Amino acid sequence: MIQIENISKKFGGNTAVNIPHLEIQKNESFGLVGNNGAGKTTLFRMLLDLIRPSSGKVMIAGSNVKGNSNWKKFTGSYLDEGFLIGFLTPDEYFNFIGGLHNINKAEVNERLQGFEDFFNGEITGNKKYIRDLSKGNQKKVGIAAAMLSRPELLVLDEPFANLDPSTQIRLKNILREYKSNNENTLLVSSHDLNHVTEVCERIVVLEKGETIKDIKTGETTLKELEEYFAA
Amino acid sequence: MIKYFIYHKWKESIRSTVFQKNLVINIILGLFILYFMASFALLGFFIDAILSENFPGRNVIYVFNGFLLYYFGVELILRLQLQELPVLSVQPYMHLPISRKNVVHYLLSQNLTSLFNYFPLLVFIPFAIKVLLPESGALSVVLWLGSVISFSLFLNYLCTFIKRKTAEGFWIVPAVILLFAAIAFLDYQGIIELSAVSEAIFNASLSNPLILAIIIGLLALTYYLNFMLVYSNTYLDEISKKQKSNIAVGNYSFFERFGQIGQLISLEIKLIFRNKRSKSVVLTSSLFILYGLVFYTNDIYLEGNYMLIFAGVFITGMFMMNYGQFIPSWESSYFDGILTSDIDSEQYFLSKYYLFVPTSLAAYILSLPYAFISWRLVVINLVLMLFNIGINAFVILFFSTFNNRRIDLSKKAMLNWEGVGASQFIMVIPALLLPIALFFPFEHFISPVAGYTFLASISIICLIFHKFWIRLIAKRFEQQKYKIAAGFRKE
Repeated sequence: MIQIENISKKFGGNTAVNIPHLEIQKNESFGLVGNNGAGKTTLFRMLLDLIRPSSGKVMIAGSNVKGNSNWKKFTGSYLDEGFLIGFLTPDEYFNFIGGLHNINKAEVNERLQGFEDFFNGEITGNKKYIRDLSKGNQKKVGIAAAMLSRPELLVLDEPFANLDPSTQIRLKNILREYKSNNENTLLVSSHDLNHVTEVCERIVVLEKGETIKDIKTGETTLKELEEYFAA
Repeated sequence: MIKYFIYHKWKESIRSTVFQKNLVINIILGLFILYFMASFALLGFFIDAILSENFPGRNVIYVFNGFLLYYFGVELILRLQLQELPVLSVQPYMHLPISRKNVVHYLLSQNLTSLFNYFPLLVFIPFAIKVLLPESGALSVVLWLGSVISFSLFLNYLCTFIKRKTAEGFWIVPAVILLFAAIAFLDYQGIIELSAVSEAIFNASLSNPLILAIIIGLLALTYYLNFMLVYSNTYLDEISKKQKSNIAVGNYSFFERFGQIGQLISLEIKLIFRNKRSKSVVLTSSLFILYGLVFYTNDIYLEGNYMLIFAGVFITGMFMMNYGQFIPSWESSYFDGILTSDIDSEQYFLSKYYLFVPTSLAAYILSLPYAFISWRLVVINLVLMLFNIGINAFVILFFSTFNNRRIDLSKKAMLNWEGVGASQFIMVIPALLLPIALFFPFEHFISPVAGYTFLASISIICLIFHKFWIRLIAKRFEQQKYKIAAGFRKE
């Protein structure tokens, strides 16, 4: 699904990301962990063609993400509030995103039914603008919008941060259900080792922009990761 | 404690991002301020000469004092419009062991840094030294200066009180202007005589300390009112929520029938009407329709061509220039979302273009009554409307791909330099020179009619091929988008 080749990004003289080769298969659930400044967000931004790599390229479904917007049709993503349109209400935002994918309002509402628990009654049917929502509720809007088009590839940066415990558990269920479709590929980054080992089958540790561990999730994974980060 | 507050305030202004990242703007702004300061100071030095020339045989001091209340009226209106309430910056202090009172005093003292408190001094002090001192002596100078400065500060706190009470109500400025206009009208009709009142008050202040005491009393009262108001409302939820009525209204689904472009236009209209800064762009742009009066009332301009072209570009193109200059900065807060959505760049720019065309057309229709001044204006403005939608729109959209400065939509538009970069200055040049350059050779060698015909024809040709221009702009945008997005991510 995704091939990363010789990708690097330098800001000034500092190398933020440097990955010679990384491949993510279709139907994989891929977790990216690392401390602050390890390059997780930078990598995701290059993946989504938001910043230009200093070298190398990212291929999604066989074609370079740069100079091509075909991948946008089947990729849903939410990295940060920079994706949200603050002066819209959540409903208006969902309809806008739906409209871009030619999904009509009735269909949008039907798809949002699946998020009812996750929203906890605080998102839809509310006349508040997104900019006036709390961080956690903004995140709910972003994640639901990213999943609205039922994308084959879903990219989420720190999806669990800022969410309350109940919502975190509901999100895990949503992501598991998303993954139960064999066509779907999931990419998440997280600081929370517990969540990421629960959701992902494969975990890559990023340190100073380089992949230093690539683990298939098993019983000992959490322990292994905890030992690594404690060191 | 106060020491730290002042220190932090200083750091805040020095380290504000606009100040740091935008040297050119700072230089221009600095030159503006210097220019105004010099103008004010010169006015202060020579106002006695100006007054004695216009009011021969009258005491200059009395005439000056007679004008003061008018001046203060204007000052209050300007303050209401331009002065910002310092609000959010106290948040980081609320949980620290500092008494709530001190925080409030700090908040109120921040108003004192406003330039409004200093500009009048440039007039008052030279006048006091040059005219008052020799005539009435040092004591009078102290009393008089004390009175006018206190009066200005009284207006400062009156203005902040009004603003706080009305939660920055949009209607308050027009209301005050109307009130003052009514007073000015009564004054003009001779029913009341404001200048006499003004003269009486400030003449008395020269010798009577009671006047100074009363004004200081008013100042203290407004300060106290502000203090009580803020003190009883210093809870975070009340500070950060400026208006509670942030309720979504309006149905814009009409446009959504027209596919992706319709979606984008509907989004843009919501952007414009739900945010402070963009709303005031609409307001100022519509006021520019009256701009013609500046030119059309002058017979020399009215018989010529060039000034009318100039006016026509502004009247029919003000919105597209005023709003377009900050595309795509308007969308800086969600630009990453735009880039990762399945939005085609051509459609994106086409939606901007389709927003420009009807606004230009509407401005033209509203300008039709100028026909009462001269029928030529109807034709000339039509030609320039065609120029605006056929050529100028693409110039603006092309330059928009150079914008990479973030805009905070919730801030007001007046004196807001956020988002301003070199491209805003450069794009004015082709927008104004192009019509002249296209018009001049035909006018000069054949006739004005030929000039207008050529200008209109080439505009229509470009208009027909608008998709071609949009494609070019979209191509450039594709290359620039990383730079734009990176700029928008910076605070």
